[in-house]
Amino acid sequence: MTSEVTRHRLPLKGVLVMAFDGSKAIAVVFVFGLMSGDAKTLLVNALTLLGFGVLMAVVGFLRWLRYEYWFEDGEFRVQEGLLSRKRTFIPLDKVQAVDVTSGLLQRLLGLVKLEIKTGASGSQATLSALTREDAERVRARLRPDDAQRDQAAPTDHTAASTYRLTPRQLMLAGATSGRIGVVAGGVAWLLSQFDELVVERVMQTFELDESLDLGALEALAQVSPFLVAAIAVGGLFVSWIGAVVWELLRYGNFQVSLRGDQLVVQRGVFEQRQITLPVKRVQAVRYHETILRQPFGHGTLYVETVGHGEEAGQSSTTLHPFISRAECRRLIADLVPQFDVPIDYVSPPRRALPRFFIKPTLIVALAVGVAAWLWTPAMAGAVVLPLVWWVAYVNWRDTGLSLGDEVAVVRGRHWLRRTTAILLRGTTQMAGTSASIFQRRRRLATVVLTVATGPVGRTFGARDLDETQAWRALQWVLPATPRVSTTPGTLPESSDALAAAPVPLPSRST
Amino acid sequence: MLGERAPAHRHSARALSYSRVSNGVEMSLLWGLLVGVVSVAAWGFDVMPGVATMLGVAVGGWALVLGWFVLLLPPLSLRFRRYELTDDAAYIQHGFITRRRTVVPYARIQFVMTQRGPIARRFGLATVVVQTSAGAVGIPMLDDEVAETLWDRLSELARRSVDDL
Repeated sequence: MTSEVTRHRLPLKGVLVMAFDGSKAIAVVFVFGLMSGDAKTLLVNALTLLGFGVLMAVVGFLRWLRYEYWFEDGEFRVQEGLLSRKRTFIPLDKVQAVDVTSGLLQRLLGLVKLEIKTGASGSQATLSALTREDAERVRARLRPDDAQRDQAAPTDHTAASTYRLTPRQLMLAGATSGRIGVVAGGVAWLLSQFDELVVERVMQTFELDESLDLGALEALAQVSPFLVAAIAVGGLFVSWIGAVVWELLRYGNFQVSLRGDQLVVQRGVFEQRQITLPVKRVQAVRYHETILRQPFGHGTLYVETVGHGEEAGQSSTTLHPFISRAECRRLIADLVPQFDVPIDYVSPPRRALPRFFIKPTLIVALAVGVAAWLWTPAMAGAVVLPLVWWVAYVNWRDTGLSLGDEVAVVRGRHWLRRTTAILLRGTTQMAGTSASIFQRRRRLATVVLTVATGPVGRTFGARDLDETQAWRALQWVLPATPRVSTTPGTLPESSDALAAAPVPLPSRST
Repeated sequence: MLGERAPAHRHSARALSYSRVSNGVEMSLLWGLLVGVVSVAAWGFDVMPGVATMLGVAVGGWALVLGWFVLLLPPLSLRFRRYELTDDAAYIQHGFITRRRTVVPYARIQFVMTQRGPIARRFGLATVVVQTSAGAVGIPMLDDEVAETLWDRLSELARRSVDDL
């Protein structure tokens, strides 16, 4: 290491990034504020926006002025903060991944963003504005191996082990993303902004009684109920298109590959993201098939890690947004081979079948009952029962647990989504079974396996298995060869008031 | 095989009176809070019933809550609260209506701590909490000495178990 220490600033253009960073949301709200209202409020809004812009620029400049990064004593150091100084020191040997990405703002300015990830979710650093050359220089010092490998064979990762989305897959992924609900909410909100305007127009055009205090939809309903239905269908269609576009922008240019010991996911049209994950930190692999995607035989593949999430604070990363089951197995074998195992499911026995029907039936009966009590024709809602029963049956059929030597596979369904999770014995933190009174009567139990991801871990379960099969999961999580030997019974057994009570063993009513 | 049998060891002898007292205190506080919130809401929406009705519901409900959480539940749930340190893992069971069994391999334990709440301290009881990187599991209502021994032993076992990854 060189003895003299040079502290670096971000390039001057970084002021803009600093100014916009963290105030994006507020800016959007203000711009929307600009669009509504009469001339006077418009002026007030414009002035507020201007004042806000100036404030943002000043804050951005000061933050830029205070922001310094440098290498010293085998550490990468960042000092920042306007009011309170914050220093982040990252030892170079703790750096696990360096991601160079560019958001919309960075791309407009010809800059990139550099993210440093360490093992813990704690000390991480983000340099939000760097020139590409500076970023490469920093990366080369943080991860010399990566930089060398990329230089030696920059096109290395275009090999067979790179997975992409075909345009057809991308379109299908968008069409079945299920994001329509989120977008529909946005569309409804936007439309509601024009509520008053619509009411006024409708009232005038169709000469309705102005003394009525009506919402837009109610006013339109006075004119024609079909119009309202048409608007609803149209709104849904627009939302669906919006969802497709959202998904296209999010997963356009998608590719995932293995570089050395790291998984690299790239995606995004405007906001380009790169997520780097060390393979050995992957705790579990999760394959989601929603009811919309199952007919196309496709699903989404996620990996669970400790830290390293796709978004800050998350620990799940989309490894592939739209992949068929067969290709999924190939991808797992290629990219995360430790999770590639033959699967041999144990399914819930036939005596468990009624349990899958009872709860959904009761819920539907209750909902329809209450609705019918309020409005009698709602009784027709009972026609969904066969559908609900079909889902219950499929749920029973799909539930399964496969315990291999080192790897477990858990498959289950939550309403309309089937989840298959692959877990390693070595990283499964806890194994549990639970059995309610009703389950114990039928000698059934639910298995729950917990892996470390996020602050409290994530659990995967398979319900209503035969209890002896479920208990095998408790044994499975133990090390294959005992690591320590203890003499059992060395602990004092506490005498207790209930000592006379028989030892409670799982009840077996036969 | 684990699961075929319940864990071997039981909670302290004082656990029954302790859980009656602590359940009683906790549930009374919660009930009081609920009654308070509902009364304020009723007053706000102007649907206040008579004082006699309100007192009746409040006291009657309290009696029901205490009857379940103080008289009936503690002995039932304590019958099933057990723990054991096996060769490789801590094995814990609890729950009366839904019986849960949890296995935490020693190699996954990050640290072990003991906790004593204000009521538990009066009874000389403690909880041993086993922390993994995916959440914690507690073994509550142990005699202080047992908790100390358990804490000591679990810490030692966690240290000696090398993670096999």
